[in-house]
Amino acid sequence: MPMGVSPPDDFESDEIRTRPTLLGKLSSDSNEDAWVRFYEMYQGVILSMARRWGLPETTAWDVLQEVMLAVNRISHSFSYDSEKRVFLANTAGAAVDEPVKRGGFRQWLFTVVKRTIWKHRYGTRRERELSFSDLSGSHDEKGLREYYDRTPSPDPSPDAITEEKAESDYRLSLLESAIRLLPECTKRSHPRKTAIFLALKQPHVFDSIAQTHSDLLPSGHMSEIRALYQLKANHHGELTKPVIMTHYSISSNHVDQEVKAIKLKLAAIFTDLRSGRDPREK
Amino acid sequence: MKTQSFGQTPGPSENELDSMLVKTSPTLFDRSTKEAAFLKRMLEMRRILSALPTKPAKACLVFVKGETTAAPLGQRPIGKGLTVGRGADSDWQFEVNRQRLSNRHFRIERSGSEYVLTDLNSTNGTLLNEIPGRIKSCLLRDGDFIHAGGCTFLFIAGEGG
Repeated sequence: MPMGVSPPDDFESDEIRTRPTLLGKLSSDSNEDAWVRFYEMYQGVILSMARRWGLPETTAWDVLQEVMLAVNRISHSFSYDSEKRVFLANTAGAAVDEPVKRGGFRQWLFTVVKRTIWKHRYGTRRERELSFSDLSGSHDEKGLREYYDRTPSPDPSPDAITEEKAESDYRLSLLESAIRLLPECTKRSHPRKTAIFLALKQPHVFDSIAQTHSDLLPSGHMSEIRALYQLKANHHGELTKPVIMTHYSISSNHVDQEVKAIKLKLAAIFTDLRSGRDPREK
Repeated sequence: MKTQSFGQTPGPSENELDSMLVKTSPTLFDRSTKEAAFLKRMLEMRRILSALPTKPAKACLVFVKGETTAAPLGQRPIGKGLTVGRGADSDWQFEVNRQRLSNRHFRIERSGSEYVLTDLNSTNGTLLNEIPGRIKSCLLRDGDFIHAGGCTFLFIAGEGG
């Protein structure tokens, strides 16, 4: 058993820690839901950190893979001292006197992420150096281009990545996860609210969804989005609040309420994700 | 019904939410297919690692899926190099009835502390993870899945990999 340790000095300032029960479930071989939840909570921020450090797309996914493997390796030793409010972990099969990982889980996780990124950015890790044998015959050129895009950001400024920046990246990736979960977490009456919200508050996302041939959201949501996108085209690319009011025959106040309802829902999903709860369970 | 409000710890305030909304990726919904495929592979990898008696100390290749089965079916250490195929001259020879596997399908070779996968001009090609194109050669990473001739293999880098 790992030895208990005192929380690090800054532990209390780490206001939210990964839910202890989630860590406990990760150690169970049969509990795949916990892994899915863990992935949903952290994949965005891990990829985002890797990209911000100037790693090409392929390498960012390599970092995510290595971190997932590291968590898998150590997950069998997760334990949580509720009295000391401290996360304990010991490397699998390690002797009692080996160093104990301590403190908040996120703190440990982000240390692993940064170490992995550093290894790829400055260390001995070579790039994948992918070469394909049948580029011309590929029917998925978009996918191949993505894997071929090995150009690092022009100004990665890795030294400028601070804890504060990592935290803000983390919150942004949580919000993106929350937006993706919106259709699953809202009632059947919400497709219109979601479509109005996206059209007015996230026009870049709205356009991207509407222009994609495949259905990225459930059919009810896609119908509303496509109808509004057609409306936008009919109004020379301008989808304003008055246009939406006329289309749905609703008041300005009503539009504001619809948008506010989705924003509140997003804030609630965000809070759940941040606290390690599954917002779909409600 | 629980009243919702902004700024509940650790949730965002309305101002923060508004400022973050303009920074999100336009293709945030479009990424889900790739992410789902990656997650599926991670879960599969976890199942396979759990099914192995011990994590291999040295780099090895685990045969995890044939045409009909989906479980760890055998493993081989890679050493300095390992050739996989149907032919008798392959280091790891598979049944001759695996017609989609070439006689010498692919090879993994040690290069310093890393390992390189090379397709040996196989008829049906070698695929890696979710990458949508036949691989000619590439570096392998711990946890990579190699698909060749209807078979799937998991590459394990061993301790320190």
